[in-house]
Amino acid sequence: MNTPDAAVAFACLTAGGLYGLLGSMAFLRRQSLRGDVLAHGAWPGVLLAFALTGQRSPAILGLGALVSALGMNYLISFLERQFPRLKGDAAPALLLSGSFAVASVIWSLMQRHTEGLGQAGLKSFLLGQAASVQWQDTWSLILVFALATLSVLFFWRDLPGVLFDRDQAIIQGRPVKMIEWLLELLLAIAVVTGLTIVGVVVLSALFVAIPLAVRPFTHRFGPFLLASTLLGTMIGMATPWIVISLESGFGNSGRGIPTGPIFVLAASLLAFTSLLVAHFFARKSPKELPTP
Amino acid sequence: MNEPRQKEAKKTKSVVRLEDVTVAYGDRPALWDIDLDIPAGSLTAVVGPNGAGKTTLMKTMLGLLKPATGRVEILGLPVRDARGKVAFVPQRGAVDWDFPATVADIALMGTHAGLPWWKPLGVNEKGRAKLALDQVGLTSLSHRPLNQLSGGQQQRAFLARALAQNAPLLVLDEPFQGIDALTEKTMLALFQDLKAEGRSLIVVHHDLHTVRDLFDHCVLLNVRVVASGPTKTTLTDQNLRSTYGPRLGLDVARTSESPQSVQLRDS
Repeated sequence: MNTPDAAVAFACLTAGGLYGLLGSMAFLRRQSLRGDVLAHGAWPGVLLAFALTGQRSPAILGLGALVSALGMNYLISFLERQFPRLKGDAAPALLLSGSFAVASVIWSLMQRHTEGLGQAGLKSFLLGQAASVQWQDTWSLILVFALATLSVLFFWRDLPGVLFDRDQAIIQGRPVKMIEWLLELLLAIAVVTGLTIVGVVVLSALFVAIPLAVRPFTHRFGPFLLASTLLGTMIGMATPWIVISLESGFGNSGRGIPTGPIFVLAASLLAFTSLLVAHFFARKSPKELPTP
Repeated sequence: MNEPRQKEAKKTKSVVRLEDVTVAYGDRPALWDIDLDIPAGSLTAVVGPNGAGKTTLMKTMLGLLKPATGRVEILGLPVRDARGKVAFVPQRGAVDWDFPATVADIALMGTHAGLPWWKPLGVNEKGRAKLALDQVGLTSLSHRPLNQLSGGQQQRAFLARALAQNAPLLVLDEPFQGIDALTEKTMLALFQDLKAEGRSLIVVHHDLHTVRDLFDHCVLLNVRVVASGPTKTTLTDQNLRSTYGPRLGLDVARTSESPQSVQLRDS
């Protein structure tokens, strides 16, 4: 049986851990959709960066992705401030499909003018392609993971308070703005660095599926974050193996199976199983106990 | 109630002072030209009909909302500088209770105020949280996850968090909503204890009977301040009518005249 490339294997498991860690906090803030906007919002940035420079260097494409993702993220807050009628998921929904539409237009214009877009590897940004992962992608993922872990440890004491009750944290004089800003920036960077593995289309499912799978079995913030990170890492470890066995199983027609959907399917399957297990085996919650 | 103490409170400075404060959502004013002076060491009730701006008033005092005009002073300081010195008990529905934390975790959050972010929680903080849980009667549930609490228990967990903060001023937004009569009595007794310790409490409250019996100061609010001052002279039929409108005000005023029946209903 084939083994996955070491760079790919490490990239996948780091990405899994990273999305487990940051996803769990986005999950608690009910901002999972924001991850989707960041991912979709990065796509036109990737295309524009390529169109303007003609290079497929991860640094340039990544920069384009980050700028446009952060721009979309800012636009959500801006729209919600300016038009209070855009409640809940309205602004994110508008922007995520909007940016995908913009990207599709750019893509078709570029195809008319540029030769060999597919070869440039841009398509791998859509659904993720492990084969396109190089060591520098892996190292940047490891770096981002280290940054995210450090930031979380840095603000460890204040994080649950800010995520649970924002107003209270402000009243208590906690550094709320700083923490929220940091989490959003980390999320954007994480989304952008992981694009080659998971792709823009399905990425945000990970932000929901991984924390969802561990939530029924963890009742405190620390264990929840840790379990989500570990589960993400494990799914990330398994993904390249699944891809490779599928590819060899399907022979020629199985070549180039995208990594993103496999990643998401594995995570969603686990989340579903976990919810089922929790439903049937978890002890009944003692809600109706009288107060002592 | 207690004449000498009230006089003493009057002499000391005010905990909350609002001058010409107007707050608006869009172009609809929620609070109009509010002048307010709440004395230190008082147990103050904020009373008014739905949509009177009670929660808005709380949020303005806490610095969560910026007034369009006017000045807000908390404990003699600008709102920003008073952060960490005011404890707030929000309405239960303000947060998502499906958060991975235990009752003890919530109480501990109260001790974060005023602590530098890098300092780990010490024996002092843990002791304060423990004491607060004891005061609200949640000690035996301290390890219970939040999503397994009843409404009253959630409310008490919020109260424990505020108590653990050890703040000189406590602001509570409808703390008795969905709470059984017994818990309400315990909490009201606790308020009296806190007041006796010299702390000030501002409570958004609906039950005019308890306001009359237990709160020494009250604010009648309906977008404007209708009346504010010692309960005895402020909570009058006339003022209630101008707060709630002629018919409702009369109803409320009439039932509040017989404290005996209130006692019966509560027990």
